[in-house]
Amino acid sequence: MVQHNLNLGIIEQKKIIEVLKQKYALDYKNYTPTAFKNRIMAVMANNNFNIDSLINEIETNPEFKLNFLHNFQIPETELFRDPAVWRELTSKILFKINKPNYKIWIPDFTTGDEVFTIAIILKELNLTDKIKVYISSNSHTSINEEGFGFFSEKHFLVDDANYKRYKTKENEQLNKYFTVLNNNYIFDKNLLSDFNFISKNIDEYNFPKVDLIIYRNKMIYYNLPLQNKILKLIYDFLLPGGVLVIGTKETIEFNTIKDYFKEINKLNRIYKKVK
Amino acid sequence: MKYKALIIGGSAGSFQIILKIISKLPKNFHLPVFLSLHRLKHIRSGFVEALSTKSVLPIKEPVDKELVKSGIIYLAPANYHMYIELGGRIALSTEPPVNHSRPSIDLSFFSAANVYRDKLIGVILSGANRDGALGLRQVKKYNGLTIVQDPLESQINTMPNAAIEKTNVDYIYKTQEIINFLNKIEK
Repeated sequence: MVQHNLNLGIIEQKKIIEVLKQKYALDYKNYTPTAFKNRIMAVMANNNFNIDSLINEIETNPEFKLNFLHNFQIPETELFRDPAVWRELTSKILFKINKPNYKIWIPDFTTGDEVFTIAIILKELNLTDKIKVYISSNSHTSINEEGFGFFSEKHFLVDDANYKRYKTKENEQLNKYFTVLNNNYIFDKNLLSDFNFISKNIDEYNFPKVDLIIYRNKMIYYNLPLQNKILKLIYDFLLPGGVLVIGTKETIEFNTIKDYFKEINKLNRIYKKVK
Repeated sequence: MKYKALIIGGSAGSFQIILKIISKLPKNFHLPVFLSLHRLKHIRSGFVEALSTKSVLPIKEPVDKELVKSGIIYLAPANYHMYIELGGRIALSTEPPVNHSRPSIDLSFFSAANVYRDKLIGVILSGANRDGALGLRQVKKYNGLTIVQDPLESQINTMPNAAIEKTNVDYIYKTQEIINFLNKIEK
């Protein structure tokens, strides 16, 4: 487990935020403090650094940025996490698409669990070549990176259980979308071949407006001012009537933009742009 | 008022104890209560309802960035870590499990200790792993009050014993003594 370094106080956190901004142009000023602290401790633990050696490394080694981002990033948790959300999205939104050029955007993916989930859903709805999917991530994650789409058996078994709940059928098998090699379950990346991969953070996106944005469990790491800023961006990038899906324990009710969205499914946190 | 928050961690064998405690809290209990319990993540609803039927105070799974209020019980949602942030909001997280657990009792206790310092009461109940031991130690480090369920009474005593091993805890209490204590601090 992550060693809890008890000396990572507010002063040290501020110092780290400052050097990350100066040296790597990374801005964590508006990150949720506890999660930021935990991620910094993960970076330190995985490199055997203390606070001083971490700060020194950031100050003197530009190439450490990739290592930093890799250890700082939060893996997505499961394919088909919250099966009811995907069931609702499939039956109420994707199954009923009645316009050409429907576009989906999945910003800031990390391990790709949500991207793979959408890929499977579209494949099964026979929509892969009818819908345009944009997936974006900051520069350190690439769909061509070695190990991307590799999951442990433990991870796969959770995914498979979720998938059965999504299908509401016990005999549905998720393994048709994976190959197994050396105890790794490797996602069939052919399912992503029509996806448009964009190497950008959410706030650098400059592609066409879209009909559906899936942004689950990302804003929980932002404070309210940053959430407000990102939600404004999301609002701007959604076409009229466009749909936003956030995590099941997230809400936009604390945000300035709340009146510009209508909740179309409360339990599953599916919103529609209304103004 | 001496204390500002109560946090309880529990795992296997703690459900009935939690039910007893929350059914015996005084109606005007003035602290927020945080429950960080290991649970089955696919049982998304039902758990909070099961606790509600017995609870004296309102109980809910918080949403991210919810403001903490006194007299409310906050249950860490399944498959999320639950943190308390300076400024009095709850933050949720999908960071990797700690001690195979999400929610992690340690992570909840760490964040609560950081916010409430010596005004926090931390309680560790029955459980089959060692989660919570480091968290309770952190509560003690900030001079908060630490209570562990008596291992002799605990259905599974691994978690209480681990907590006692790591920290010179203030009280080792049976369930009824925990209830008596929580009722006493109101006066």
